[in-house]
Amino acid sequence: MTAIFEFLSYGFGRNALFGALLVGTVCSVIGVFVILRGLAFAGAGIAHAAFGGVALGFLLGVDPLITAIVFCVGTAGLIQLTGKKANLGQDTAIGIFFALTMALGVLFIGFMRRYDARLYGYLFGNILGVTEQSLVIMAALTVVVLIVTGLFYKEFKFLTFDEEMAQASGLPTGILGAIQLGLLALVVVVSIKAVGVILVEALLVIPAATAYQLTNRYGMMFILSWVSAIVACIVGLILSYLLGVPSGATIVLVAGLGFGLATVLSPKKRRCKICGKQLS
Amino acid sequence: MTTAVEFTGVTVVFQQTVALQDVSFRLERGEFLGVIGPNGSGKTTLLKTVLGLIKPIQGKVTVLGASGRRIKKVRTRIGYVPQRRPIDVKFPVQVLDAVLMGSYGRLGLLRRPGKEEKAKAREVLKAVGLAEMAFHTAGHLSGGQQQRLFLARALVGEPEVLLLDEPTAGVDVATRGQIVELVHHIHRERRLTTIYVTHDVNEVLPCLNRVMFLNRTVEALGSCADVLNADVLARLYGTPVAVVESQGRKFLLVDDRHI
Amino acid sequence: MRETVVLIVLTLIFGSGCPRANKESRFIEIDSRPVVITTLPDLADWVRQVGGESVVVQSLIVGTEEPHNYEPRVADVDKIKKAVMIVRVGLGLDEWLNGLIKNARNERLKIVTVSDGVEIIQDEDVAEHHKENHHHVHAYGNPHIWLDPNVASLTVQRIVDILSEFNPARKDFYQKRGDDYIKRIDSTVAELRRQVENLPARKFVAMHESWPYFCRAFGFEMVRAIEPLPGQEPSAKDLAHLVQMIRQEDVRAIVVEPQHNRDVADAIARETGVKVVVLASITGSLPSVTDYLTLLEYDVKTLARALSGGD
Repeated sequence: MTAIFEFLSYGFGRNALFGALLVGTVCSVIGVFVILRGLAFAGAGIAHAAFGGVALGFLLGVDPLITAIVFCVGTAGLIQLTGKKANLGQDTAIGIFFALTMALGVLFIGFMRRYDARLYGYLFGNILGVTEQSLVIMAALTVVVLIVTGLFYKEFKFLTFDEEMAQASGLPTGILGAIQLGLLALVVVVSIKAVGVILVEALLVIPAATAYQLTNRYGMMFILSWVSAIVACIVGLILSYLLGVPSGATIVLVAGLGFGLATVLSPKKRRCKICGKQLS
Repeated sequence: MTTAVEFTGVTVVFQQTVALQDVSFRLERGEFLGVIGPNGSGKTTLLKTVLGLIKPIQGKVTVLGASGRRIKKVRTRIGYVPQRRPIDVKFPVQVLDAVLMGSYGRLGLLRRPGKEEKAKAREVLKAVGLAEMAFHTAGHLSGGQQQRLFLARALVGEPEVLLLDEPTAGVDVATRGQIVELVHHIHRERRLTTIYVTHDVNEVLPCLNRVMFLNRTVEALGSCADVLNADVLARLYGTPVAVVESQGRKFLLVDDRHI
Repeated sequence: MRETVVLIVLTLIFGSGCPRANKESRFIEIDSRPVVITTLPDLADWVRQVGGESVVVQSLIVGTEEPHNYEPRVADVDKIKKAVMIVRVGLGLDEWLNGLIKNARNERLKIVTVSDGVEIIQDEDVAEHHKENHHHVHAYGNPHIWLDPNVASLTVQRIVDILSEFNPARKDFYQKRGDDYIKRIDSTVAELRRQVENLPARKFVAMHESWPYFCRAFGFEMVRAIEPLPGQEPSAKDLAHLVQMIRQEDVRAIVVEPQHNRDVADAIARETGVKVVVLASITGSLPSVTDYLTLLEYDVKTLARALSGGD
């Protein structure tokens, strides 16, 4: 395991690890809501909207993270709205925004005469190039996400479990849902610099899905999701270092392996210990 | 303030049909109102309108002294047992946890459920007979048990008004009787203003105060004796009603078709 | 009555589009000068130096694009239709031109490929000392040949010959201009070489393998490319090796081009304390680099300054 120390002896190694841990933390926490509320597709839609936002930033000569946040939060808002007025069905609406924002991104790129490889860097991310400055922003956003999630812990729990009843009990479900999607947008933007648009969705879904296989307690889901994300990040990074392969993809594949293991060994697969009910 | 719920000329449109038309009634605190009627008669809509989840296009709704937008604020004082929707079997929440959610409204934003709330939750679980299932995954419960869970959840917040929407739907015969007993017992004990919606007339026979026959409008509203007899019901349902006596108890048999 | 109004409106609309005789005589006058299209602005500069006002030269790429994966526009086909000559680099750099030429269907188009007859450097030569880097970056050999001033001189003479073919009356005109320009190239190169000779350190790493001919011409040494393949980000392992190598070989500069993603280069810079410097491999990629000779001067001087520890 000297590989770990070797990797960490480099500044970029330490930054990459710290960055991956931050991204892993926010994604695994928000990921619990994503899979329990069936928002995986919305998460993907928002991630692709981020690409459109980044492209716009490059076109206008503005910090792409800012335009990305605007695009993502805007898309999140539109998804929340169409969820209410379900003429189309939220699924369809997300599919449309997904495609539209990506098309906008391609269009913006077409308008630019200048080629800027940094833009494509946002598609795939580069955790190895993450700067101290980026880390500070990511850390700040992580703190915000954790605080908000902690603040609304029980409200989100009720909202996720039974939205209509939550509303009937007096919880402001419209605002809460909007906050959740807003957090999702923030998490996506923080993460794309590190793992890219294409892989953010994986980190949103896989660790939480792993936790889902292993526990029936809501609180435990967050802990297990976080643990599996952190393990995937650390193992994935070290492995990518040893094998000389892209880091972001390796992290995601390790996370996937973790999910596979959890599914196979899942205690939920067998009978319920108390009531003996067979679960499928 | 003795009036718990008051509807004045309320008309509600829901999903592009008129669900309630010119509905008026007044419910005093501590009253037990049974609401019967054929399928699709707007009974669920009535309850949702009480909660303010649906807004009327005409008329006024006053609940615990609040009307219009302010009804949102009194939701924490209303316990609602909705029409049965099965809980996702795999959702990671335990029974005790699910019941505790009923206290969130009262706790407000920053407070967490503490010892007091947990003790209360255990108490209501016991009252509904689910004490041993406290750490079970909520989704594992049978239909009848889930109904009781929802009832416990509605009660844990110590509501002043209790709304029940067909609490015995899809539940086996034995459990059905238990639930009806339970509701009446709770009403007696806690003096909760209760609106009990059902399409089985017999469930409101152990009737305490009044019965409403709802078929988009209030077709009958009166004391049990006045409404729950063969003639009146035959007229309301438009089909013959038989009264059967057995073992010292009365049973009404209605051919309950949609009018 | 209604018909009259419609007639008046239509006349006004169409009338306003008609060519006016005096001022905007663009519509009537025909520009009979030969049109030459090039793929890169550097090549266009060479043609302009020889032909002067007697030819119309345009480069498809303005300089800010990435030449390896330039996306041609519809208007580009049009330009090729009207041209008498195209000057291209070849060696796979401007493969995208093939489709355009086919679509333009211009029978009289003369195609000049700069790489013809030039001594090509294969990327493997560069990596000879570093056996791990087996990637063949550019399939037909390294195409960044215009950065070799000898190639510029050779091509200038070819341009003189071809333009003279089109317009024999101007033969002397073109030859004189060509010779003058070649002289200027030679003197610039000699001056720059002198500056490089005095440098204590000549080694650098670059994001992309654009520099072998440049190095050969001026005496620098590019030790390694950061990208394993064009557009491919180095892995963590690659980065570690790069850092080690930079330290071992006393590399003094990290070269990137304006269109590159600098993040990884900056990370290496932070790790090793070696500065990142931006060089132009194509005229027009930086606002201050407006022609070929300026490009050579800018690149050599900037790199020399970085290698001697300047800003």
